[in-house]
Amino acid sequence: MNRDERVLSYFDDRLSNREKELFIADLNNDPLLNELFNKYSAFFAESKKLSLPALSDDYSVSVLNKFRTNLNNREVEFSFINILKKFINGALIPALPVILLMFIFSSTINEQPEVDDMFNFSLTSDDKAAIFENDFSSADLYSLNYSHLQDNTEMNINFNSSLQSQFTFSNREKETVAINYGLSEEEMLNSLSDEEVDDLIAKLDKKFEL
Amino acid sequence: MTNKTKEEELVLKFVNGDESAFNLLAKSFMQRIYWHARRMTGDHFDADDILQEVLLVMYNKLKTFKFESSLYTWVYKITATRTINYLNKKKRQKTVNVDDYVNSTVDFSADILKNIEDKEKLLEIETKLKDLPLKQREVFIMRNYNELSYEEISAITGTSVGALKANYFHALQKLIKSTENI
Repeated sequence: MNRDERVLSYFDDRLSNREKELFIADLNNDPLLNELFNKYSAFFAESKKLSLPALSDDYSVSVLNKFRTNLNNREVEFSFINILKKFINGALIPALPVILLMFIFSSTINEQPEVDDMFNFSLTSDDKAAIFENDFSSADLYSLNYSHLQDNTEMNINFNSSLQSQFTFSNREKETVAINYGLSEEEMLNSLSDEEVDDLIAKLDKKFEL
Repeated sequence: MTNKTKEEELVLKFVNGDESAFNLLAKSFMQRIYWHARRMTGDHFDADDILQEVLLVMYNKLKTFKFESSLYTWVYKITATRTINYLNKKKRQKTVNVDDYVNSTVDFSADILKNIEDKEKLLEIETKLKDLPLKQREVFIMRNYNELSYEEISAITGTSVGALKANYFHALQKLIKSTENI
C-alpha cells in the first residue's frame, strides 16, 4: 500500500487496529506521509463543512408547485398515450403473425458473414469502420479498462490519439459504456497504459488488417 | 415514531389517496435529491429538472413500493439513475451540436443557499466535481456528502464494493490535486 492508499484507508476506516497503530506511528516518522495526511484532513474538513447546504423554503414550495403543474400536464399526456397504445395494440395484434413471418424470411435471406467479407478484403475502409462499429464486441476493451481502474493506483494521463482515431463508437455503444462504467470514450482511453494501448492496437490491427 | 414507520405510514396514506402525504414525502427527500443532482451536474437548473423527474417517478411508482429496501435507498436509486441518464442525454446533445456548448459556470442564487460560510469554496469544489468521470463523481458524492456506506452505494448503483472503493480512491486523489490551490 502506498502512502496515498494508507491515508485514504485510514480516513475510510479500512485499516485493522494494528495497521492503524503503525500508521499513527509512521505519521511522526515519515514527513511525506504527514504532509499527505494534512492535505487529506484539510480536504475532508472542508468538504464536511460544505456538505449540508439547505434549500430555501421558497424554493421548496416552488418545487412542489412546479411538480403539481408537471403532474397535471403528464396526466393529460398519459391519457393520450393510453389511447394511442390501445389503437396500436388493436392494429398490431392481428398483424403480428405476418410481421413475424416477414422478419424470419428477411433474416434468412439477408444473413451476411460480415467478418468473412472483411477478411476477404472485399470491403472499403468505410465499410470496415461501419462493421467495426456494429460488430466489435467492446466487452474486452471495457473489461480491460475496468480491471485497470480497480488495480492501478497511478492516475494515467496518457492519451493515444492514434488509437482514438481508430475508434468511432456508435451512440448506442457510448451509452452502454457510459451507463455501465460512467466513462466517456476519451476517458476510457485515457485510463489505459501505454502497454495496454499498444496491445490493443496490435490486436485490432491483426483482427481487422487495418 | 421512527423514520421508517413514519415513511411507511405516509406511503400508505398516499396509496390510499391522501395527496398531502406525498407532499410530506417529497419534502423529506427533496434536499437529498436536489443536492445529489446538483453536485453531479454542477448546475441549479439541471438539478431542478432532475428533481422534478424523480418526484414524478416517485409519484407514479410509489404504489408498487414493497418496502423490501429502505425508501431512502429506493429514492436514491431513482435519483442516481435519472441523474446519469440526464447527463448522458446532455452529453449526446452536446456531441451532436457543438455550437450549443456554453462554458457553463456554476450558478446559484443567494435565495437558494443559506448558511454557507464560504460560497466561493463551494463553487470551486462543485466545479472540480464536474471534471470527474461520472462513476467517480457519483461515489464521491454518495460517500462524502451523503455519508452512505459502500454497501449502500453498491445496492443503489449495482456496482461492486471493490469497484466503488477504486473509484472513490481515484476521485479523492483527483479532487485533492485539483483543489490544492483553493
